[in-house]
Amino acid sequence: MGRVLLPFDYYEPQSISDAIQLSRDSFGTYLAGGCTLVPALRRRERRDSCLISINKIEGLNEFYAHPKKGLTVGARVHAATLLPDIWAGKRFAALHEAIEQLYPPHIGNMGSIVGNLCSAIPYYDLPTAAMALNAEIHTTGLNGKRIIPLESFYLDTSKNALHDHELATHAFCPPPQPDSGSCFKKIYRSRRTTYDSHKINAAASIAFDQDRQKIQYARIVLGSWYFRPHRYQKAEDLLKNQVPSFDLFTEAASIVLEDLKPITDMEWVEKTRFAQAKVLLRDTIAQAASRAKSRQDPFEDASQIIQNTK
Amino acid sequence: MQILRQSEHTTKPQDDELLYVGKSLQKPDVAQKVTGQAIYTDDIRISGLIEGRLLHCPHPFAKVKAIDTSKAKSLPGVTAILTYQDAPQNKFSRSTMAEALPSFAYNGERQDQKILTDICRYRGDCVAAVAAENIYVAEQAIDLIDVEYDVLEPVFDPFQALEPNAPQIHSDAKNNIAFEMDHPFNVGDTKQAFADADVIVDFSGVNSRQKHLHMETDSAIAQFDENGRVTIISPSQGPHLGKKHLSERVFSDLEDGDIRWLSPTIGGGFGARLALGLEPIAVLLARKTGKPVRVTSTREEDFNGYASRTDQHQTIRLAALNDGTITGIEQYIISDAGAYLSHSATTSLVNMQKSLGLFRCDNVYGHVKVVYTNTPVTAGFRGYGNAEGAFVLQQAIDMLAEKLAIDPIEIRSRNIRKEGEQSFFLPCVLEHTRLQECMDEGSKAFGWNKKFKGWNRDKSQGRFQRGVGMSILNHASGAGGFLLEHSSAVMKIQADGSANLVISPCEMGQGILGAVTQIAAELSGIPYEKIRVVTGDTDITLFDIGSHASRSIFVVGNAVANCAKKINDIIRECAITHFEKRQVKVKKEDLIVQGGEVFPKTNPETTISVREIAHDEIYNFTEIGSQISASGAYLSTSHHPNHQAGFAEVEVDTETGHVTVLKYLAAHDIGRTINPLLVESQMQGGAVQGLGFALKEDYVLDQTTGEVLNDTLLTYTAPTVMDVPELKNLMIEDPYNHGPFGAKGVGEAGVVNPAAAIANAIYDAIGVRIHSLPASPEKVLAMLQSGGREMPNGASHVSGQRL
Repeated sequence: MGRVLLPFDYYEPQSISDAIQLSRDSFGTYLAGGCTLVPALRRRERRDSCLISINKIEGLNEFYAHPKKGLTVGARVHAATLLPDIWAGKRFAALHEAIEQLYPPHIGNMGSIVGNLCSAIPYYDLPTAAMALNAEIHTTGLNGKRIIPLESFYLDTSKNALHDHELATHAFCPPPQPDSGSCFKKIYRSRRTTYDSHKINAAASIAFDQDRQKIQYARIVLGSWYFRPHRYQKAEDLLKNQVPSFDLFTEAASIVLEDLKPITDMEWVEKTRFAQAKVLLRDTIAQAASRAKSRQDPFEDASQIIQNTK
Repeated sequence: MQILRQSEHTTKPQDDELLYVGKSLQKPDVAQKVTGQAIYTDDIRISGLIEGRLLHCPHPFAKVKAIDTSKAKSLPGVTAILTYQDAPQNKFSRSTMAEALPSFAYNGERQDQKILTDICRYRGDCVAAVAAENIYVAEQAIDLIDVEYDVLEPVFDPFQALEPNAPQIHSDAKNNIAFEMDHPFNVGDTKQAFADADVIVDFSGVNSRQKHLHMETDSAIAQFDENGRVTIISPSQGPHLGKKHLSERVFSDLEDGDIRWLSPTIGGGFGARLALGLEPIAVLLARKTGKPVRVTSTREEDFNGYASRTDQHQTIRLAALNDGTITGIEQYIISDAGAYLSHSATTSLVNMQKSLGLFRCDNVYGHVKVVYTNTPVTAGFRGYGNAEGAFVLQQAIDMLAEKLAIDPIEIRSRNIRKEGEQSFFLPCVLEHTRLQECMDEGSKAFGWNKKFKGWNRDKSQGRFQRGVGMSILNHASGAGGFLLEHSSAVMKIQADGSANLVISPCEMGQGILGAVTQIAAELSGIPYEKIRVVTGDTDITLFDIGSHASRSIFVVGNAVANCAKKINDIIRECAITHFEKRQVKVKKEDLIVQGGEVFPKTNPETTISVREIAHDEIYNFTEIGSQISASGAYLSTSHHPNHQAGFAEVEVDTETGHVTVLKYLAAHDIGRTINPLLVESQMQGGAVQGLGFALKEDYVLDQTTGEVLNDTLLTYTAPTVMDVPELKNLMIEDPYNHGPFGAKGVGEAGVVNPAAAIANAIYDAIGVRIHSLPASPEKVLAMLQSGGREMPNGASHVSGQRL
């Protein structure tokens, strides 16, 4: 039960190295937006006596979205920062949609994207969306820098692959393929047991071949089911080299369902969960494919031509 | 919002004669609220104030075997630690309604709770309390209290709790029955009516425990003075009733006058503040320490501890003739009180009163049983049983209409009570209703005739299905004859011609202070902006049972009207000598007070200011001086029902079960609109809260641990602005003789119809009836998958899936 915060030591280092040093000396915990950490402290799920705010560190507030260079988000960047950016909306739509739909909306103003990804909370939306965009976490620690693909970042609920004192400095999504599109969707449900989840979320990235006839690349991710979002390679393989169709997307969604296990022992709850997951996956893939198919961006294409000419 | 005047009934004064009433004036407290200057209980700083926190039981049912506070006591900064051994053994109910109810309508409210307990009946029951120099020390001390519990087998479901071998939650409540009663106004012979009926319908449903979600969580300050008198500061909807209850039931050594209760700005109420919250423990800690103590709670503690709407499992049966005339109604309610009774019995009774009284019928039978479970305590909530009842009754009446192939509006029109007939509060005649007009005008504005395609329309095969539904209600404008419905107001004029208006209702955001000030300005002649409202202090305000039951505009408004008329009278009386000094001979009845000026009807150019008169009355060195002041009171002896019709259009995603409300329209029988802006706000707020009740707000307990699974605003999905459909409100105006300027109540009605209208619209869209609220996607989908035959099975707190 959430209670009043207990007192803690609080530091605001100015550099990454200072932050890491402080963490080593005081065994403090890094604090970004605090949307996960503070409720956990209030619930006594964590008992950190020292918090190290990263919100004064230069360089961690970098945000950059470009169709050819990818998406870079520093650890201080609040989720809502992405919303007005045209490239984030067009070429990293899955993440943009996940942020748009954050509930309650205030989380977007307080919470940082990297913090959200690092929290390893099973029902969070941004990890699902970011995984569909092939995101990776860039870190700096006592032993230097590392890049950790998001797919191998989650070890358990609330447990990620960061080492002690290691700081996630930014997240990066590589530039999407030329004729590609992505999408994120979710459905809210009611939690029925302690281990149940109150929603299902899904994200997909789809890219077409040069003629925009066949699917060349697919990433399908389902989240808020297990402790972390999962990619479903069998379904992705099914889509490759295929002409998109409603039936194809339905079949891909069905293949994902074959790998899913019920969460509760309540029959009607699981029956509806599976039915909703199927529709959610089908619609998410279809929307991503539709975006890929209809992508038209003269500026981006012109940039491509200029680059190729050079 | 559109105001529709039923002109043939309009009585004087006409709107064009009114300066303030009927105008969208700004609320007096709005600037403080929007600039953050408003002072809430948590903002208050008192010299020497210490902070209190509570230790909650982590088990749903347990007995304290041993409690060791030694470690906590040795923590520097701890001032006092109290356990159940230090608390009064008097039992009380958090509901203060026992002090305001007559015995004829209510067979007694169990006083079943202690401030601190050694028998913990839900996760969140209070075992110990700490006061310390600051809240962090208090919090640390809580962690240092060692409690050894004897964990008992809990029961979470009211139907299981009723079984003979179920765990006994209160030793003096056999079969866990907390309260049982027949409807006080049962009449006729329903058995015969059902035997003789052409058509019978039977429908069962249950609602979820909607949370109030007041933005300010519970907080209370208590401070004793050197004479042993205690001042309580807390956000209460009814402080006068609260102090009576506290002295009567909790602290037997305190008299009513020993308590002064201050209610500062209140961060939302919705019924939750109509009960004792943290005040008793704050008083106990203040007495023990001799210092002012503030006790606060967190959002999660609010979710786990107290309070929510009561989940009421209902069955309603209707007997009717082939022409649609209802000849018999039966309603059976089993309510889940949670661990203590609180408001659950009264809300269930009010449900029966409203549900069984909406339609004209000679054979009525209702019965309610309220059951204890090891779950958090439930409470009164806006609508107070009416929204719970409407959800079931309004689906039942639609089922009847479908069986008889009658339009939903038509069947309601044939059965609603008309003026001159008995009202839903049976001893009283229904003196005023515009419910038929609400249905007529509402359906016209909604486009009902085009949108409702009849009962046998072909359902198209597409994924997204649209449907429409409607619902009607009656609600009280104060519960005169049932509750202690009187109020008093005082007004005094300052030397500058401004006025103080002393009234009791608490401003929780509903805007009542502004509305009654408009009444006072209109009738006294003092400008609106020159009237300052004084409220929230029981030492200053006169007795009043608080802000609830949609009563304030009617009961308090009438008291203010009576007071303001007297002030107007006194000003005119005093003005005569002032006119005479200027050699103008006037009679009192020829004078008008308006805009702070007094002038003869026949000569409006000759004016004397109220300022001059008021100043001379106070600073009178030659004669007997006295400040212009008056008091006014009002006693309500009936419910003076307001009515409403609600219309909803929905779209159902048949593949996911997700329901989107596209349009919602409410037409309200308001008598007269005192402030259209405030009324619109109340109606919109009610509709959105009703929409959350209908579709989203699901209070779920883990059935093995009793833990509230969604105890934060992250996981308890209240509606946001993104969920709000096109909203339209119609005010059906026809001033009611007994109301101030003809006004009737409007505060609660907006929340009652949405769930019922949406449920009927879902049926129209997909042919599936909704038996448990909220109609969340998985429940709608489960019903669709089974063709409406199988209802989700589960226990009551899983949104009533037991049905």
